[in-house]
Amino acid sequence: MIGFTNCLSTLFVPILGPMEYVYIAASIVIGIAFLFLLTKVPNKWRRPIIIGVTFVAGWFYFIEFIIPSSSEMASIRKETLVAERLVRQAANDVSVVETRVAAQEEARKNKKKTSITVSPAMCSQRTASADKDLSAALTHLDKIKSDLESAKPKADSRIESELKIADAFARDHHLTKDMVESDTYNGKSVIVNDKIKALMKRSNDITSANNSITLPFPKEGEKWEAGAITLINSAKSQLGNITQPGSNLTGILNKAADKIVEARTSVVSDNFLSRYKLPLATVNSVVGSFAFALGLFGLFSIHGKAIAKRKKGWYNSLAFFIAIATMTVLGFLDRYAAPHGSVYADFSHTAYRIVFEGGLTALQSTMFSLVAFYIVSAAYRAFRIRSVDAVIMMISAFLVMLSVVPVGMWMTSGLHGNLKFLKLENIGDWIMTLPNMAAQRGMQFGISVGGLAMALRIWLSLERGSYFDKQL
Amino acid sequence: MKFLMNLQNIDRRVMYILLVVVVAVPLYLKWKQPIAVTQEVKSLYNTVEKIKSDRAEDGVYKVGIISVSWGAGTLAENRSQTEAVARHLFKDGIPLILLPWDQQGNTIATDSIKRIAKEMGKKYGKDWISTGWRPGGQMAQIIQSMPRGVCDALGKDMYGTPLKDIPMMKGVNDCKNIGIVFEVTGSGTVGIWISFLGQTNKVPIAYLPTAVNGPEGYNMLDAGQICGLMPGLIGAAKYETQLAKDNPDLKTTDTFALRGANALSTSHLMIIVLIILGNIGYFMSQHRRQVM
Repeated sequence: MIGFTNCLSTLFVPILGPMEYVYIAASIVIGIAFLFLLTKVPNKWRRPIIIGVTFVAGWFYFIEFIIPSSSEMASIRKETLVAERLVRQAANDVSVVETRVAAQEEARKNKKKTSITVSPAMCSQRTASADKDLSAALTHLDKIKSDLESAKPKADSRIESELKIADAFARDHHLTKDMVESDTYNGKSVIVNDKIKALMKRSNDITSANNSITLPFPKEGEKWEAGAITLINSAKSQLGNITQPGSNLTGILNKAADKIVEARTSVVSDNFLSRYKLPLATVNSVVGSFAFALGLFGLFSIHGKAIAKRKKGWYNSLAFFIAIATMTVLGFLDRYAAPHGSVYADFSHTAYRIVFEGGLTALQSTMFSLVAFYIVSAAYRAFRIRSVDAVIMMISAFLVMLSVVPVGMWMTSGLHGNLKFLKLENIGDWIMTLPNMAAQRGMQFGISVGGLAMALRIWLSLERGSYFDKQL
Repeated sequence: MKFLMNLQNIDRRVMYILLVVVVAVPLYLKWKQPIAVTQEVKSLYNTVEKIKSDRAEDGVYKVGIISVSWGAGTLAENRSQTEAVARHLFKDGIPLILLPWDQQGNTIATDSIKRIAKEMGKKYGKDWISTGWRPGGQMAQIIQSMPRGVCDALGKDMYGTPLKDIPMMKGVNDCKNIGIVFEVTGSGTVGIWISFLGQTNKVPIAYLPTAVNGPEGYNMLDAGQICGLMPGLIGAAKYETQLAKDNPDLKTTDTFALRGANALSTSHLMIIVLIILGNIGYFMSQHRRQVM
């Protein structure tokens, strides 16, 4: 396994200097050779090869996700999730009491009668529940604390060994410490710099996670916040006072929950595949760039043939070539050709802006604005009341349309008191937040399940049209 | 009778001319109509206000990110939304990072922010920066890298200066320093922010879609995945109304969003009237068919 991991690491080691161009050229040659060989492979093998590659690529993220990280890290993530849920539950219990007390206090100040009551039974029930949850949360946080303490030496030793590799890499490429820090060597030392920084950060993260959990109360005048354990202990000691006006235990507990989240997001749950996630994402981008080049090649080929053979509408193809050439030349001129502040720079910048904003942007705005005319015409012709369903739809459409525009709000602005709910904006809000939301959720579930089924069909190569409609 | 029946066959050219008039005229009229600020917009407004109060309380330096995932096609709605939230951030002294994922949106949004910054006396590098265009295809990867260091993930600004060398970014390390992300979009890109930053790192995500995508946002708002919603031009008008109410000295009483809200009123009324007329014509023709 170690040999395999090292082999993979070698593939993703950054290549600097002239060798970088050799590698790029070699990658292109290998890609072309692979495609060429694929055309020469017998038909019965082509399909399994491509499916195999797609299948393995698809499985990478899944396997990376399910392979456990180090036991401490996995435990920390699990424990923080439980602790956060318990603290949020306690905050919810406390909030119920505090909100009622605050409403009573408000009514008392304004000398108004209120139907809100704060019964002692409800208070003691909520307080007991919150106390129980917080005690359980503290137990989990203690476990996290001990996990963090035992994770630190292991992380430090791993970082030390990886830093040695980074240092050796920098030495092999004659990168001094100053060069790394000043991002020189044509910017390539950034790679080394980033690697070192990322490694150092991993160690700092564990310290930061530990602080989020355990940091004691700040000293007077200091700005930093207390850790989750301290906040929870403080909240627990004040639980008896939640019926006092002005109590803000909900705020303290929510802050404690945020601290636990902070601890969870600070620690990295890595396994041996995690380090290849970002390089593979880069590979994905590179493959995407090839697709762009392929698309451009296809367009050139189709339009080139149309012009050469004087096909019907060939002048449209000519317009395509002129447009793409103009945009490319002006784009490059604007960015690279002339030094800033020179006459040429002003000229190329102005020319680029005229073509980009005066041409492309204006054309796209125009295209979209045509939709407005189409919508008016379509709504007028299609919206006929032919059934009860159509009546319901039209009434709700009118209500929503009027509720979102000022004139609709003005129409019902005179409604007050008990009739306030009939204001158009309130009716529109009800339609959007209840019936609309229910319908949207239903549709999204349907679309997601359909998408999943479709993805599985493509992944397992059951959807023949996706790859093998025609022979390669 | 024949006249009423003909109401279902109004020439579309007449409708087009009417539409041009009812949209264009209100844009040039100073016509004040009441705009009620609804809960989803108020919630967004309050989140921005909370960044300011939190900063005063705990002293943590926080910036706002405006993600520009729109182009010229949805300029009328998305530019107004971008301007509304930029004004609010500038007003509260919250540093702004403009992060464009669309080439056209990059130019348009940067020009807008430059104009507003000038109006409000804000300086590039100190109060706001723009990262320049980032390829939309790399959105997920860049957002995924943010928790490990915002400056490293975003790299350089639009002038090629490394972000870590810009004064405004000195205090920005990781997600704790991101107060809010506004996803201004004409498509469904908000899910990426929610998945990789909102849910995992508890960064508040605000969704500012075009009006047609607005209904999709209510689910996310209800589930707590987004902190607020500003649907379309009318959402921007509501936001600016709230901003003007709380800050009478701000120049937000004659913006495009507020004038556009009037145009929306007249155009919506026109569509409703046309649908009613069409149905009158339809009923008349049905009635006549039954009589005959």
